[in-house]
Amino acid sequence: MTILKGVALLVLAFVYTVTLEGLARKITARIQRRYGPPFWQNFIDIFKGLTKHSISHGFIFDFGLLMAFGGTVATVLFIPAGNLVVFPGLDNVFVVIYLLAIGLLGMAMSSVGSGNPNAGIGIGRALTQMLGYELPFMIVLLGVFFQYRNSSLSDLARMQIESGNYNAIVMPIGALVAFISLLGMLGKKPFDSFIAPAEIASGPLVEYSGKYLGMLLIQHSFATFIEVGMFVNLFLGGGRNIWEFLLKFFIVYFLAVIISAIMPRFRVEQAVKFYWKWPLILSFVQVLIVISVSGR
Amino acid sequence: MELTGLLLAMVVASPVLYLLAKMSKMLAYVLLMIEEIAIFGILLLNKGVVSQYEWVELFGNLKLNFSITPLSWFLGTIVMLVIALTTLFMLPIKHKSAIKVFLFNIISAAALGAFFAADFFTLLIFVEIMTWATLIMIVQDRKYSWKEALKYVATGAVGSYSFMYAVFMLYKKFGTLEYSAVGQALSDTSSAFQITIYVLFGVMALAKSGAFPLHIWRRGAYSESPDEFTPVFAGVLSKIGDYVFFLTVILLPSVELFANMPALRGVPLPNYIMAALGGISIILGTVLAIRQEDAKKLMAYSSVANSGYFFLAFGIGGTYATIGGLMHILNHALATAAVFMAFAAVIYRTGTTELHKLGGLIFKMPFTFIAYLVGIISLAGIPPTSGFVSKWLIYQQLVRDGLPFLGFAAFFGSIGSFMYVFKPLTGIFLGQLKPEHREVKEAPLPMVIPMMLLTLLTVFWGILPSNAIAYINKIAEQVGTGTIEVTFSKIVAMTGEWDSVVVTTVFFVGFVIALIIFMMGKKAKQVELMDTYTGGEFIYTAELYHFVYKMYRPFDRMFENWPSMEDWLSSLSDKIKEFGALLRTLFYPKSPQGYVALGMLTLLVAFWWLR
Repeated sequence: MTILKGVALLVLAFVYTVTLEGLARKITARIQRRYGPPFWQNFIDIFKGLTKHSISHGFIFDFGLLMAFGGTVATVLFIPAGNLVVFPGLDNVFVVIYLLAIGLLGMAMSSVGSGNPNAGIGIGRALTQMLGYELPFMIVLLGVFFQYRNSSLSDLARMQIESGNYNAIVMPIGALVAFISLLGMLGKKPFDSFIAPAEIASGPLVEYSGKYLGMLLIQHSFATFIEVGMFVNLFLGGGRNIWEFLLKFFIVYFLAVIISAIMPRFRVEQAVKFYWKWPLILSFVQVLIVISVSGR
Repeated sequence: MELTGLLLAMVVASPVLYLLAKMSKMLAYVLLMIEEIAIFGILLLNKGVVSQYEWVELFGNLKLNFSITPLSWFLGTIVMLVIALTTLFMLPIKHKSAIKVFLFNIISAAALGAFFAADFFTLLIFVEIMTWATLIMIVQDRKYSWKEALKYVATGAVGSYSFMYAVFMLYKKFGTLEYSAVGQALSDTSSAFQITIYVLFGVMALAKSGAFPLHIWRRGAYSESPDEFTPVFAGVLSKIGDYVFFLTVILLPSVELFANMPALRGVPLPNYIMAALGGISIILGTVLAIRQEDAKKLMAYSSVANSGYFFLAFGIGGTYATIGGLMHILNHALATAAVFMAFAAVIYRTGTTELHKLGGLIFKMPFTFIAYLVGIISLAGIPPTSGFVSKWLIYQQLVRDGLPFLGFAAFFGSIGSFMYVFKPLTGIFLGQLKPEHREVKEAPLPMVIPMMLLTLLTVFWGILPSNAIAYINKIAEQVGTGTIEVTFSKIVAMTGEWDSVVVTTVFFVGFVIALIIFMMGKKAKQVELMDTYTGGEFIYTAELYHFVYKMYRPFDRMFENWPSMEDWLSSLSDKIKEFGALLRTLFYPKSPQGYVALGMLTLLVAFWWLR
């Protein structure tokens, strides 16, 4: 049963996120008064990539990619989608965040292992930015865990539905901070300096081709599913069933896409300074409110 | 187990080994290895033996007391594990000398004695022996290392003297120095006395552990000490400070002693201050580690950050933090030892740890790479390595108590560690291979074996942390903090469960899925590392095509104008020197007449005063 659920979740995550990414391209194009590709373009890109010839820069280039893909697939299985929960009770937020880090580390190793300095610059920026957005996010999470005495994603979602109050309403400041952090996690503008295509040739992605690029595109959509899914479960109460979850997922993701479509790009230290200013202060404000109100 | 006999044998062995080394260095090194491995084996076989009490009479009523408790067995075995593996590791090392064998043996005996000590006096004696032996060890290999050794001994002296003062105060007041007796006697004394003892012990802990504000010795002492000694130095010797702090908060019991003091969310103020110092150490160590360009210095600051975790965990106390902190001692010893061994292997083959002079060694030294990789994954706290569980448990306590500012520090260190551990990974192992390193080979077998063993242990306790936690629970029972619930694979904490076997299995399933997709695609064409996208430029020099120097330049820019404690201290020392020079001009006249005049004046004043 666990295996069936796991397969279902992976297929759902893949199909839904890749479709949404295609739609996002269309919407961004319309905002910028272009026509844009069809919404199934991302499927075409991925399957085309997987069947093409490619180059490799040695075993760490391959191994890092497998680690990135494997780590991300494993993390998806710990994200509850509505009533589709693969590992009830074990879907700890810490597990999700740190398991996702395996994927990030693999990706970083693989791309830097290609020997291209553009990749190194990109990874350096990505890690720097991570220190920016993760801090306010973790502080907000501390408040959430303190409030519920629980860090299991499915339990948190269930408790919000049962009480009828979503965290986005109970902790509006925290939800706002987490959403800004989410933009950084997703690498949406204005926090996309680490992939900056025109500046450092897509940074970490510069050396990938063929099946490598195809796998990375899948990995990227899985990562998107994890990050947005985590936000939905933490602040919007997940869902009673899959459809409710997917609807909320859709709303959050499109909010991010629309904001991203009209933003310029921060330099990486500007991004970090930004995160360490308002989001961090607001996250502390939120946590102190939570602790003083529900302080046990 | 005859612990005193064991220690005596080690002490006697030192001069014997020294004399043997004068004849044949290799023989002495091999004998040292056999001795340390044998002692580790003896400790391992005596796992169940606890609460044994032994003493040696020195003279009069001066006794050295030892006891074997779950806590001392745990720490002593970790120490001997790292030391035994290091003695194997240093067999092929180039700079062999008789004095190193002697000192290594003395240090291992002293460390063992310190962790098995049953009273503060014994602890003090062994810590001092260890410190002085370490001091001489640091200056063995490198030319200007004495400056750094001076920093080490000066900072250490601050700790030692304050500790000595506290020990004398305790002895004068209670007439006993045994841990548990002191703990009981302290509860009846005035709170001023308790605070004094706490502060004096705390200074000792900060100094020996190298945490803020007494962290300045760490960078120099680690980077200048002999490469084969650094794993022991960083992995286990600095743990003595954390151990002292553990004794301070648990055996004294500080939370109960300070119960009537102002408290922040259940943590008494003195404890909170120590935890906050730990938090500052974490942030400071992380930021400074990110900015280093030399691998050993970078890891030295990483150790500052990690010692911050001990102060934070033991400072806030509570079940999860205490067990997490003790678990962190195990993880950090294994991971740091592995990382410094990897660096030593790299130095052995290439002669440098400056990141921009290295690169691309992964294809030449794959085993060293694996040791480093698993070590840093554990340091960054990523599953499935043992580093995850300890940090996770500390977070549980922070969430339970609701401590966002300490939480900020803990998260900062955890996420920042990705940045600094990745820098040597890029600089040494990934990227372009330097032309002069084309002939580099993997480190010799005696170096590879200990690195691989440490790697395996890190992964083992990552997959089955319950195995280690179950033993740490015994320590928690012994010292009277609560235990946590563990099953074969599961650890149950306040905010959820951690089933490492399931998570590891899921990860491998993900990896297999990736492998299947990878295999289904067309076989990739292998190309050289120099054959990359360059935007149309032609590039032939691998040296210039390796991006690692000032890798986090944007991050550096944010911290460039921060005050530096070392600058402050060196300018302070300049001021003291100037003041001394001023005094010298007053009291050291240039001519003999001046001395006569000064002498007369002194005599007159003395006469007038004594009259």
